[in-house]
Amino acid sequence: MSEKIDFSHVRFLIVDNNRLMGKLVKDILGMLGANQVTMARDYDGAITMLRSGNVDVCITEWNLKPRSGLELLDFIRNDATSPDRMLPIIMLTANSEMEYVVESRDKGVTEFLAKPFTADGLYRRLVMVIARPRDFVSVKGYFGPDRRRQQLPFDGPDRRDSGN
Amino acid sequence: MSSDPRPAKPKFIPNRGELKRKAVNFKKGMELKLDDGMRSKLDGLVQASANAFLDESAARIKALREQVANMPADPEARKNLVEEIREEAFQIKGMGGLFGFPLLTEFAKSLHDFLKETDDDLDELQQEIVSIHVDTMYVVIAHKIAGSGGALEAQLRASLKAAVEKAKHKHG
Repeated sequence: MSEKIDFSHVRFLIVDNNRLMGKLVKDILGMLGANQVTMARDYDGAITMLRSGNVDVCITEWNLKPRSGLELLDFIRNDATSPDRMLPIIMLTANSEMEYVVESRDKGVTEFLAKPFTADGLYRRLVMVIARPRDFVSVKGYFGPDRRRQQLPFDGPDRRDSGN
Repeated sequence: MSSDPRPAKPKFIPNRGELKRKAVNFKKGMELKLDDGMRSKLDGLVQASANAFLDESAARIKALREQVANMPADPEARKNLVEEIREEAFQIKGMGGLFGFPLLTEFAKSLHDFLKETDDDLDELQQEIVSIHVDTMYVVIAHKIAGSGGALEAQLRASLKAAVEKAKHKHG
């Protein structure tokens, strides 16, 4: 018998200032079985939702105005008034360049997914944050998930062996 | 002396596992690996929003084309317009490929990268480069050019590059 994920019990917060993108992510989550999805279009709206205490996973765009998704990440991980410093956070952003990946990671993001994304890519990030939760590390200059990835068995072909 | 209260030596905090307990089981829900049927449904859901994306983007790009062609004299208005274009390029960069228009993402990224390195008050050459990008993106949207590797796409890519080079040459 294999593990399954029942998304109906998971409360999601989507933070994106693009209406179409926010709705699409919400629809994808809905198709996966999630029925507790709230949305915010900016930092302040997200903070209000977070303070309500009804969020299990936060999916945020970096490019929010006037305050960014990175500031939201920083608030959740490091602010003394954060409702849950260990909240899983997926940065889903069109800031796809490596510098943004590194900065997000250094601020304690749980998963990073660049736009344009695929539904499969989003699903894999959801599985990681829910079914494969990481321990946290607190050290000078960093509070966030342990950045050393677990080594999980991989049953697919090894492309390094096939010369591709 | 640093005011960071976090320890100098790493302190490991075990994950509470509440979320996993809440959502992961052996009876009900989805497999951890997405099956083909669900992947296909999700792709269909994304594609169902493609037309809305094209319509909305076309309307905004069309409006931007007109504004870029008649750049306002007021510095504050010009600054706002550049910010608007930057934002639009960012949004299209993130969405084009998602809805099956990778070329649009490519051109929007090129525009966004260009605007990242410029001031808000564009000179003549910069205005022309922005205008060329906006026009090219409009062509992709208006003709719903969905691929990225064909002859037409290569031609558009080359046209954009040539137009930018020509503008640079013209403005010395």
